[in-house]
Formats: sequence, structure tokens, C-alpha cells
Amino acid sequence: MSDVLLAALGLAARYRHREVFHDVSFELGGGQVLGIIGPNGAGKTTLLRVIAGLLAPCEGEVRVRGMPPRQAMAAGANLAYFAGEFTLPGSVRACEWGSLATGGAITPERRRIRTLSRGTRQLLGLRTVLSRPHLGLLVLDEPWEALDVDGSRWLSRTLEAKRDRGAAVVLTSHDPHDLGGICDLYLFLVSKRATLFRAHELSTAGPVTAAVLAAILERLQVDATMPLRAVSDTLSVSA
Amino acid sequence: MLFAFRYFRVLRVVPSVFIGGFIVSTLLAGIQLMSDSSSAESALNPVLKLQLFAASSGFQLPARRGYYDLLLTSSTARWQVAVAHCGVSIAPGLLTWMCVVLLELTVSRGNHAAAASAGTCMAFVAWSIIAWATAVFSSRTAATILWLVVMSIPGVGYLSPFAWVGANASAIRPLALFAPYAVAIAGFALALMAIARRPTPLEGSQ
Repeated sequence: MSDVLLAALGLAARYRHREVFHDVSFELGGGQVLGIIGPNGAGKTTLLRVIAGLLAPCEGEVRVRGMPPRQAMAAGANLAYFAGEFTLPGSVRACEWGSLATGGAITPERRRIRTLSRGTRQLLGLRTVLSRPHLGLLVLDEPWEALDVDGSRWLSRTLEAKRDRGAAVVLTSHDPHDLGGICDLYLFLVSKRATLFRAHELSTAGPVTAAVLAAILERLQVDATMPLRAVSDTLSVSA
Repeated sequence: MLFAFRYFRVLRVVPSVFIGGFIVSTLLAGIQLMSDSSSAESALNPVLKLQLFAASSGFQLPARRGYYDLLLTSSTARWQVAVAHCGVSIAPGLLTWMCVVLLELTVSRGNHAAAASAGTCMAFVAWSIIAWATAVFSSRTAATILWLVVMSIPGVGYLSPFAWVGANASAIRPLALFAPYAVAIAGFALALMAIARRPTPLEGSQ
């Protein structure tokens, strides 16, 4: 594995007295992709905001290049974070928003963001954050949401290109179909618990399929404490 | 720092309707001053009212909606974000005030300077920052309601910034003159700490 670019050590998060998740740990190197899978409300967005330094964990710590996220960003660890099209301010013109990241034009579209379709907004947000050069860490929340076929292809190609240039990528989805075959690590976030699998543990012959991910997710929803050895049973059943 | 200023300008932290209001206020002040060059105080009242609402731009609510994610995850330091947000929020009102000062000096050929008196400076500078700092912890709507309530409470005249517009330093007790500045500095420091340290959860994910 290459040098650790992103490390999460025993993370726990809660809103007031409601626990979101606990004991989330993983290490991600440059050129690796981590997929976070979990049902709606499992805490995927919260975990990404902790990674991006927008939320402080109530326990544990996040290290980006060995530093806390904000310190790493100030030191030049370029982070691309996007939480979804609903986080774009509707009153801003699309072309103005697109030029924010680099100063260059992303789109000639002059309409206000609120007047664009959901998929167009999603693509605008993704293109804006991913247009920054020399990105070291990409943190994208459900990035395929609302994208059409062309948009999805563009996103997959861009993520591959960034990964090949050494960026670490963290993606979330509630749908295993989005993440099948593209990740080096899979973190299942179910019932406040995190279960981490390496891709080769889930599939020794080729990429991890969406069916395998779906089977594990289903099994974890029944028993969130499923040990690693039970994975083989799950895989044989799903096969 | 420049990125932060550009970001808040693009996001129109002060909406166009307020900018339009300031332009109209400047024009009306010009007309009023041309007919009576000693009427700067009454010409500045609507500008100050508008400034209290415009400077109360709110930070936490848009931040929790994710509107500032691109900025907050950039290499811009949080104190720079706070300074830029404050600067962009209070600049239109302060520029309008400056315009009225210049208009008054021009029309009265330097004989009147009520728009640049110590009381007016305190009312505009200190209260602009107080308005901004108050709204950092809430939203523009909440701050607007707060200012409307404050303005309508009887007996707050002495504390009201409107009471001091046009007043000379000799007419104001030192405590009354400097207390708003002290409150503004304390408010700015608290708001800066809030922006620097408070977590930014997403509204929809809590």
C-alpha cells in the first residue's frame, strides 16, 4: 500500500445525545478508493463532513497527510468535497459558481442555479470541485445521484484519472450498484457500526460486484456484528 | 483571503434588493441635501436602518445548508473567512454612508459635516459590526425580527444608534460613545471564534 494519505482512528459522532456511529477506523493511501455503503440515515454524510474537517468527531481523530484536516488544507493538501446539488446556492448564476474554484469558466450557462434541473446542478457542483488542479483527496457524497448516462461516464472517467494521478478518493452511496467494482476498500455503515472490507477479501476473482455488496449490506442489516469470517458464507450464498 | 471576498461577492451575501435600496437612499439623500444642506441626519436615518438589515447577513444557516462548503474546505483560514464575510456584509452600507458624507460636504461647501460626526461614525461603524456579529449565530430573518423588535421597544432611544446620528463628540458622554465600539469588538471576536471553531453539520443530515 502507498503512503497513508487519509486515516480515521476510532471515530465517533453524535448529534446532541443521539449517537450516529462509533469506532470507525480505516487508512487510505494515495491512488486508493474507499466506498462507504449504508442505508439512508446511517451517518455517511456525517462521516464525510468529519473527514472534510467541517465537523469535529466526539471521539477519535482524522489525519490527512498526518495532520488534522483543516491544518492539512492550510498546508496545501487540496481537498475536493461535495455533499450534493442541494448545497449549491440557488440564487447564484451557474457560470459564476463554476468559475469560483479555478477562476476559469466551467460552463457558459448564465441561468441561476435554482432554475437548472437536478442532474445539471449535480454535474455543475461536481465539475466545480473537481476542476481544481492537483487534488490530493476527493470526498464525494453520493456523487452519481441524479446524473444521466453521460454525466455518470464523465464522473467515472474523472475519478479514475484523479486516482491514477495519486489522489485518494472517498465515495458514499446507499446503492451498491454505484460502488461495485471501483473501490479498493468498502466500509459498511450499518446500525451505528462500521465494518471495513478490502476488495480482495470480497472477491478473489475480479472486481467486487454490486450483488456481493448488496448481499453483505443485507446481512449486516440483520446482524451488524457479522465477523469477517462470515463474509465467505454470505458470498457463497449470494453466488 | 481574496478568494473568500470573491466567494461572498458571488454568493451575494447582501442581496441585490439591498444594493438597490442603498442606491435609492443615496439618490434621495442627494435630493434632500440639495434642498437643505443641514438635513444630513434625517437623510442618513433610512440608510442606517437599511444597513442594520443588510449587515445582518447571517452565517450559520447558509453554512449549515452547505452553501459555504467550497470555501470552508479550501485552504482559506477560518479567520479570513470571517473577516471577508463581515467586510462584504457591511461594505455596501458603509459606502453609501461615505457617499452621503461627500454629498453633504459638497453641497454645504464644507460648512456642515453632521454625516461625519463622532456620533454618526459610531452609529454606522460600531452598529454595522454589531448587526453582522449578531446575525452570525442565526439567520437574516431572525436578525431582522430582532432589529424590528429593538426598534419598536419604547425607551430604548438612548441605546438606539439612530439617537446618535449627527451628534458631535462633545454632546455624547464618553461611555455612550465608546461602549458601542467595545460591544462591536467583543461581538466581532465572538463571531470570529464561532466561525473558526463551531462545527458545520449539514441541515439535512442531523
